[in-house]
Amino acid sequence: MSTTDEFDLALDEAVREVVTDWPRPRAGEDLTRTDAFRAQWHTAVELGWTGILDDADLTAPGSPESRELLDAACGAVTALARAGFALPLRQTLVARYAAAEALPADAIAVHPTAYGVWEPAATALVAADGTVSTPPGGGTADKVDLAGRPYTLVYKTGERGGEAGEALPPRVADVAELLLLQEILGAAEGAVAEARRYVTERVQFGRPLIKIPAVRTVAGELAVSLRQLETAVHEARRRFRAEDERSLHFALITAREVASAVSTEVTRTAHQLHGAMGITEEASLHWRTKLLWADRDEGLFSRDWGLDALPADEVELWTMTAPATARA
Amino acid sequence: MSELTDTCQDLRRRVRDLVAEWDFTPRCDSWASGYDPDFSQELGRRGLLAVTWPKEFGGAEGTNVDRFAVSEELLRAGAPVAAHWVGERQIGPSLLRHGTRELQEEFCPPLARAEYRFALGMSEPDAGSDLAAVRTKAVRDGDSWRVTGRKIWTSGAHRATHLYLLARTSQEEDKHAGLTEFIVSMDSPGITVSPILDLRGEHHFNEVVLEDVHVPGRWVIGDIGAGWPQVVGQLSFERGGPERFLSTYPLLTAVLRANLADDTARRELRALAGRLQVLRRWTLENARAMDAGHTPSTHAAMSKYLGNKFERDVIAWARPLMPRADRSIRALYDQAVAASPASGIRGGAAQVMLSVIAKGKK
Repeated sequence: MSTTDEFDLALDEAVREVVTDWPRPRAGEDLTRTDAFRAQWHTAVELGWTGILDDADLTAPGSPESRELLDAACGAVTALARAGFALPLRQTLVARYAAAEALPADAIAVHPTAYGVWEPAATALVAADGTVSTPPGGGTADKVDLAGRPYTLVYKTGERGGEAGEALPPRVADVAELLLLQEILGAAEGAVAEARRYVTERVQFGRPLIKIPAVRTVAGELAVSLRQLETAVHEARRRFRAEDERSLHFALITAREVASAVSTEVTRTAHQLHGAMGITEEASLHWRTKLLWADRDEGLFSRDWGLDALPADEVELWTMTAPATARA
Repeated sequence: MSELTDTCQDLRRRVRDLVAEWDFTPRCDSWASGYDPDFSQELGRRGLLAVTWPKEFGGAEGTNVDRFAVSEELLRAGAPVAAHWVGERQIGPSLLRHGTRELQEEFCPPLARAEYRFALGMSEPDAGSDLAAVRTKAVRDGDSWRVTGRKIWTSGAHRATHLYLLARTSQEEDKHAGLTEFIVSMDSPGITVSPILDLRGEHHFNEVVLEDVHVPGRWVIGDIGAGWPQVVGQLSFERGGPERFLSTYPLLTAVLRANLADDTARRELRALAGRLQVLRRWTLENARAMDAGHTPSTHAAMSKYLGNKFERDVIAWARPLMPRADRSIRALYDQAVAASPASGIRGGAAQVMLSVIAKGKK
């Protein structure tokens, strides 16, 4: 019944093993200015996570090879977020996939679909047409988002509109959107697991918190939210392998909508369950919830985002919401 | 695009054909209040009922996924399916799973033809969602049983030919033990059915009082005292299907067809469509789990909980559009609003579902 298959579990186990000893930076810091960041990025590169999509042809959705590569990319991004670490992994995966030329193995690369996130730390900029340039250097971040990721306000000159899929190589925007969804899913899973662990272990009023009916009810709501998100994301992933672009876009925008709602609910509820301890630097919950808030708000500037992918009528709505063929 | 097989697509087409031919007014909550025995029997004649049952009992030996396809299309259309719904959805499958061959031969073929109509005698005045707390008693009387007790919220009992009954046959320390499932003929002496009008004054619910009612010994479903695990399996059929999120779908359809959605409603449709997509996947997975012989209790509870939320969201989405709606759409809206409290309760209240989910996720 679960959409998390053995491949995902094995990859998650492998990533968790790697990140177990990774130090956490101080809360509120620009991650790129921490000692640990370069070492962690180096490990991610050494293990081949950043180059998974280098030779992928995601315009051939049915091929087993492209499926495996996409699964591996999704798995790595999700597992890292589940562990509560923010690295420029998904942005680099997308940029390397979109690049018209090979990039250095250790490049931190960004593409317009990254909406400027990590751009101040980038060593390679990949334009919408795939051309690669080197950043001028010495640049500073306009801002650091809640997850500690530096970003550039790429929209201040109005050169990009915030709509997915404008004049980009095939499926690049879709890959970017899918990997963002996978990262949100991973962070949500990590936050829920932390909250659940806390209410199971924490004893108050003479019993574990989970024994209190009201807490159990909230835990039930969290489980529903998480499964809802997992289903929506995996539906989009399944449709990635189909030929029908419209159906894929529909699944991506509706999954993003579900992800926004679930991120809000999971962060609020997980902190509520975790009590005051959860909002301190000592608890690891905030690494997941801050990533969730940052991802939730990434790139969504227009109220009308994605409306063109909505069905025109009920018949199309019924067709579009039917479960997709390929297995995630 | 769809994951459904050719058989499913064929079944969907056949349902759509019948719906197009039949003279009915679509309604919200049609599986609880859209009563048309002729329509149900026509479904039976066309092989669209009991699709999962063995052929020898009037079925088509299809899968729960096939049945899911039929149910989705019927509910999508707001078709009048209340006359056969309970009997076909859970009584027949329960008999096939737990009943004796004699019981299966006696009840399944007429159920597949929608000739018998069942009501569910589960809830009691002092045991709403806490099914294990039922007090109705069945005591042996030779080869038969004598039943005394009260059932409440018994939908359709005034039109039913038979009552499914959960009764206590022994007093055990564990309240989940000592329960037994029976079939009771509604013609039996000692049964009194009193209407409980709903908040629109419509008659769907009843109180059913049983006073020393005779039940033949052969009408016990499954093992004596094993009613609890059997009924838990039945609840997966009851909670995990598409009726838990499509009750208000005819309203959504009518608003879209009348092109009433303004810019705000179009934006909100993103979220509604996302949730609808999730729910259709979940109920398909529930059907698959049942085909694999599993009892997806936790996932069925999730479907019911989120499904009910979706139904309420559809109402909230449609509400600001009603000033421009015609009389038929307003009627659908009113039906949906009036049915919404019952939708949250029947099959188990939201808090009960969440408790089931939390326990299942341990």
